[in-house]
Amino acid sequence: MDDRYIQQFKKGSLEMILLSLIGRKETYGYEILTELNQKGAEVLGFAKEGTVYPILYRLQNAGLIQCRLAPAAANGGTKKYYSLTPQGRETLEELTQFWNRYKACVDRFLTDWEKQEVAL
Amino acid sequence: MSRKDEYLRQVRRALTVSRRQKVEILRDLEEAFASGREHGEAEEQVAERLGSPEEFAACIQEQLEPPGQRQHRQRFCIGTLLFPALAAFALWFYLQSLRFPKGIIGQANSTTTIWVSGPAWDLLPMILLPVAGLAALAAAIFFTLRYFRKK
Repeated sequence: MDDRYIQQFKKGSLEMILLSLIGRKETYGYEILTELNQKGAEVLGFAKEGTVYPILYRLQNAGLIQCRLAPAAANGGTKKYYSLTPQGRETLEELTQFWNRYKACVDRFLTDWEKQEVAL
Repeated sequence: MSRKDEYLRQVRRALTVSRRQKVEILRDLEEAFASGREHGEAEEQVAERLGSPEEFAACIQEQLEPPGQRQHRQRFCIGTLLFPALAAFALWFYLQSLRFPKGIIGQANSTTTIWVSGPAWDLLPMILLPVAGLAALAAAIFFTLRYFRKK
């Protein structure tokens, strides 16, 4: 199978997944990665800092997420906690609605094709 | 130097993003190592997970800047520095030719007595222009060399 198609899917959905993770509760880098890998590694592949950080920077630059630095007693440094901005929440709601329609639409095409394959 | 410090140093060297962005990336990396430690991961394990510093930097960079943009930025940088350098030199040579018509003092072999009265404001551009020109030229050469080294 051509890897490029899969990569494109992943690229497009990772932003939405990150928004939904951050939308559930205020969270930080390591927690985001752990959760991504526990729930999604099987399909999305193993998430790494090098992939996730730039998306977080982009979402932040776009004003969809915000962050605050808090001293972290457990690791002796600081932790950056991410949360959604009102604009981010709005965008996530719109994206979710679109995703549902998108999913249904793609499914319609694929089921039609599958049905025909079976008939032949 | 600890494994983490060494990793951060190499990432810092490999990144060519803005200074502000670099500071942010390095802070986040620092947190990645600290969080790893908090969850019982050795620095070596975290470094392995991140991939080589060059890979990590390239991955971040690739996603932050669309291809071509970086080259464009560098070229712009060289252009903006080289132009003022050349302009300053040209202006300086022009002023030089105006200021000292040949033989104005004569070819005096003995001591002459010339008094300069009043503040020498008109000499200021003569001093500042070549200095500014040289500084800009040095910067242009530096960035050009760095550009080709990075390539």
